[in-house]
Amino acid sequence: MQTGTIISGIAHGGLILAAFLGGLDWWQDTLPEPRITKVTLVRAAELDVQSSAAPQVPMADIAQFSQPEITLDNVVAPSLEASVTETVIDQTAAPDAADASPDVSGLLQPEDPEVVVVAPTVDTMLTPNEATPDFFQPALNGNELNAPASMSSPPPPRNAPRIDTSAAAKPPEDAAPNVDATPEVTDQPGDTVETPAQNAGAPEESTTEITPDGQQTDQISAYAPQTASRPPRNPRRASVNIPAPAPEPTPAPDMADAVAAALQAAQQATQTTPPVVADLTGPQRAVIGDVVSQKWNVGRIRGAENYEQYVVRVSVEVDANGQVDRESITPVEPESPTGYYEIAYRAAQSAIIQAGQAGGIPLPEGKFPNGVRLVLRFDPASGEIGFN
Amino acid sequence: MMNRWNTLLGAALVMLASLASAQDRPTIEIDVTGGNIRPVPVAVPQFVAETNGAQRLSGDIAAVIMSDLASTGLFREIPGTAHIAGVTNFNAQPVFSDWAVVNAEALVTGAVSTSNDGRLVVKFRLFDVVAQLPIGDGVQYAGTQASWRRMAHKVADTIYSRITGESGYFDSRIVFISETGPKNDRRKRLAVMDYDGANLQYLTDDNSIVLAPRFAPNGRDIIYTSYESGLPQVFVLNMETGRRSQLLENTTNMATAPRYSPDGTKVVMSIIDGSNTDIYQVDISTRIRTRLTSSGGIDTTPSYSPDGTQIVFASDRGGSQQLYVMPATGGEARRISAGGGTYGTPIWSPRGDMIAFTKIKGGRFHIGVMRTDGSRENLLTASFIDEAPTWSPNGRVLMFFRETAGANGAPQIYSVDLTGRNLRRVDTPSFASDPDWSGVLR
Repeated sequence: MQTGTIISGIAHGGLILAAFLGGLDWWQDTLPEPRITKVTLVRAAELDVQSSAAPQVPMADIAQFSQPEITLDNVVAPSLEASVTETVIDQTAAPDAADASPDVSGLLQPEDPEVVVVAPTVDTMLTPNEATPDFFQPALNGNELNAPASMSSPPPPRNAPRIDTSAAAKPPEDAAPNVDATPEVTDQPGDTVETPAQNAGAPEESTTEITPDGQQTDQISAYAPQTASRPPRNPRRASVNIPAPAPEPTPAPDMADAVAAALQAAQQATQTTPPVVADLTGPQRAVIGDVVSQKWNVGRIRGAENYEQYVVRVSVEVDANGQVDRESITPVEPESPTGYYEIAYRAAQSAIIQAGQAGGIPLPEGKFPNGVRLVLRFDPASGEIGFN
Repeated sequence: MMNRWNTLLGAALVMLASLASAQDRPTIEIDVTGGNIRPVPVAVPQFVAETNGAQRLSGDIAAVIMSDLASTGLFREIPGTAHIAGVTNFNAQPVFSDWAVVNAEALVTGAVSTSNDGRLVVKFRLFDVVAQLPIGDGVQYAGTQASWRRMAHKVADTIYSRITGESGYFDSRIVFISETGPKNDRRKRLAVMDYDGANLQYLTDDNSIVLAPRFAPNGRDIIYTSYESGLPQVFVLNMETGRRSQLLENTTNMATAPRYSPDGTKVVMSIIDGSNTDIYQVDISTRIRTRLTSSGGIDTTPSYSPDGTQIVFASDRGGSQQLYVMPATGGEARRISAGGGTYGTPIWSPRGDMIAFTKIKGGRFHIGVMRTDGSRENLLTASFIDEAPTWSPNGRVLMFFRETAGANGAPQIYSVDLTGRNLRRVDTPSFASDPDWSGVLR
């Protein structure tokens, strides 16, 4: 018991003494603040730079390192190759021999055919060969849901009249006034309101014929529009114009007059033919677009800066069986594509031709006996997220 | 006389019939959307050897052209074994049906000849097999026989340009750091090669560490950092003469990460002064340096915009390393990186519309691109270490180095398309890092 008291006293005394001799600081030091190491990400090269910084070298020695020009003996200085000269080959030069090709001797060919290769310039190749209208004038029968609006070819009037112009039947001879009065209900209990007697039947007609307010007269109808105009629609959705057959040229008294008449008739056919209506449904149009889209390598233009602006419209003639006339493929917008537009046009042209080769353009059977002229609009951003 | 009138009448009637037929066809407008992205199948048959001395090169040149085009990922080779017809006469029109049947969409025909004075002549034509039309005119190149690869690259550049609308990048070179030896004792040399790894040449020995080589706009000078004096200093090397000079003489400041201005008259770099690292601009002719930044952080890896009016650089002035843009004359810098993680080694696109960078996030390194205002960030790669991107001359492709993990990890140079497609390793005879792409050679 006494020994324990002595040991306890010594221990407490030691602690008190340590506290007086600065032990408080010692206690604080045993609980240091968490070390914060600031890590800055540097490249390996920069780490090498900083780790190799050994400013132990005397300035005099450092000065010796400054060597303005050093010539290496064991290093082969590369020589850029001699300049390469570029020459545009005259594409108009006629070739002097034919390429390796299958034996065509069995075909009817003139002796020693001379093969002429004329490499057309791009500008020549892309020159449009026909003008196209800026706006399409739709002319459908007016009752289709997807039909475009048109004032030039109004739809026919509705079949059902809005006002019944027939006279009402006379009342029967035995019709009599209703003499049974019905008491009116009020909010006061027991009160009644006297009401005048009313006839149960319709009043006798003063005439046997009713003339509606909106009576049609010849004078009015001569100036009034036959139908109300339809709201405008997106002009590029659909527009189909089938002109009427051109009038046959009248017989000419001689050859010169015949030629002139034929040319005049052809000119009139291009200028004054009234449109006749035909159209594709939305699904039919989508199928055609998909067939061409499957062959459209949009990657050719996607690498261009701001490629979304390179939208091209291309015209192509397609016969009734869906076969593409490759010679008819022409740029519509822009009419003379250059730069990236030329790249976009060429990709579109290739897609149309390949679609034709792969099975043709799927036109509705029998709907276009004379074929159709398609104007295809290729939008490179249409399938891209963020541009639709 | 009567026959003539009959002919005229017949022609007029045919014209009338065709016009009437065309008028009978309705016009329907249809939108084509979607499309697909696929390589353009191209056939490059062996070039015609027009002289005896050109026989060997006729096949080699065609092979280099095809290799260039295929390396872009935008073209697919129709192999020679699939060709059912060759080209025996350069001036003859191709039989397009023979090439269409093997699904070629583009056809390159060419011829090689040597002149009496030993010069090599390479000419070619490009055809659209689908449209059965030539694409542009034929072109002829002439040079020394030793430069046959350059002529092949130039042919490939022209083809690439005509089909994609962009300028090519095949006739260009890469300067990089060639590394040999174990990881803890790596020897580094300055080396230059064609963009495809051919014609490798070493510019320095391996006695001292070299870093961060960059081409001058003239394609002849290279600026880089060397430790040969014990301290990192910036040197300029002329590849034609082999002469070198230290950019900043009589200085004890360490200098790193140099890069030329677009006009080649100035160099921007990081200079370490005491504990501070700032960006300086050095005039090449006078060697006078101008301080552009003065923040307390580490400002490094500067790069000029193509018009020379702005500089993008990396700095940790805000706590973590981020990308900043400031005027080329110095001044207020604005932070453009905001995608989380840390950013470094920015480099401005030659087109001027994008900035490529290295990004570290989640313990992974990425090569990425963003608009110059920091928007539309797009990470193209992910790896243990991907670092130090450099742009192709047309701004369509990025080259960088990728280092593998582990004790045997080593760097190799890779390329990737701007869209993140077509990741390829560039063949080098040794380990390689820190590439820089030249402009197209002249």
